Amino acid sequence: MLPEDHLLSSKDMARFAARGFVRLDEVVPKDICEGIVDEFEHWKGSRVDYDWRPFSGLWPDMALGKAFCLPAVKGAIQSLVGPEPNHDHHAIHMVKANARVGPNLHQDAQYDVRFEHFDIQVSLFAHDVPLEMGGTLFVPGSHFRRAHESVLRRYQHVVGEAPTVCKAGTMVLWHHNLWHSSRNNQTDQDRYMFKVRLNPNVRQERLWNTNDIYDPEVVRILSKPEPWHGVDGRLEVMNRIRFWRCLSGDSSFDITGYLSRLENRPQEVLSLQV
Amino acid sequence: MVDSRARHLAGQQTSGGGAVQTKAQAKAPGSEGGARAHRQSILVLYLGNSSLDSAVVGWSFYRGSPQTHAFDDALKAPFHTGVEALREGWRLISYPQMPPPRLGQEYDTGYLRFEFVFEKWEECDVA
Repeated sequence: MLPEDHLLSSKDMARFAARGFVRLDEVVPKDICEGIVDEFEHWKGSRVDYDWRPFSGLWPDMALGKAFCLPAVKGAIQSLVGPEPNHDHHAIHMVKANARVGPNLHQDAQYDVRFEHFDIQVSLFAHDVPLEMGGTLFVPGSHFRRAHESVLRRYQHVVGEAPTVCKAGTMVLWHHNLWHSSRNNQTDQDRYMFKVRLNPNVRQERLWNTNDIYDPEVVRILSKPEPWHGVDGRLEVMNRIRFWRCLSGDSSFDITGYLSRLENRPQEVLSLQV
Repeated sequence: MVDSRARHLAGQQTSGGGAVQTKAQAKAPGSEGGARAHRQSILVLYLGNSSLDSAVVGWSFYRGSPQTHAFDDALKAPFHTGVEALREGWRLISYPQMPPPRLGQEYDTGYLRFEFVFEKWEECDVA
């Protein structure tokens, strides 16, 4: 296990629980990023690999491997899926320069109804990604939705959608159910995004630095729905409460009684006074 | 926030209903080449609640003109509410149903529930 100072904080975890992702800006140094881009351009073998194996030690002697050995990156991964996750699959995504892609909002893979367990997907942007380059777009707070894969294509835009605009070396670690899509690349440069999916091998409870778990900011983060949730915002806060109970191991956690009043089923029968 | 460029794409004057013209009939006087005809455009607004005056939370836009890319990059909604779209000449053709939740699924969330579909019938180049 890594030292606490390399792990995510409770506020970071609350943001993950609420919005479905955490972002590590410029966490990979520029020299490693340059090496990664070079590796992508000269990648040997398949750019998509579905081999389920231990993640630790992958890509030795490569800049890509160095990026995932950085303490801040290992700490974030450990906070979410534990110290020795599995490599599910990875893919080197590339949108060519001046490419117009159709709307393709989707939720990866098949229906996944797990709640207390989750995989993460790590997206690494090894070069600068301005808005017009069409970095991967995420819909914050969509990770609890029961939706099947690319049936979501009919939603071209969602209010509050977040296209990735970032400097080189930025990583986004996101819940496997988060809605996402590629976008048009309106620049003269090909856009790369490396994605790896990781499965947990331990119960995902209190894996992060929990020193600030009772900070009031945690509740504030979990309480704020996304603008697109509309009238379903309260249901999404309830989902977040349930998720936080799993993550924290605190089955009594609640926000203004949202779940507690639904769980209130007193059994005591009072005798009638005659 | 409302995107004025997206609103312009979505808010052109309707030319009213009517039969589709043949290519010979559709050629506008004074235009250089290219036939013109009426084509349907579809605007789908996803609202935050069941009433038409609720806030827009998502949108999709399809245009029948072959010259225009259907997918627009605008990140801001073309209208604030569904009623605004009516005022810009869009005609509502589909109103969402409100089925009760299934037993045991009362707290589940899924697809966007309040999908309102609008159309316009407008003249455009088709050659």
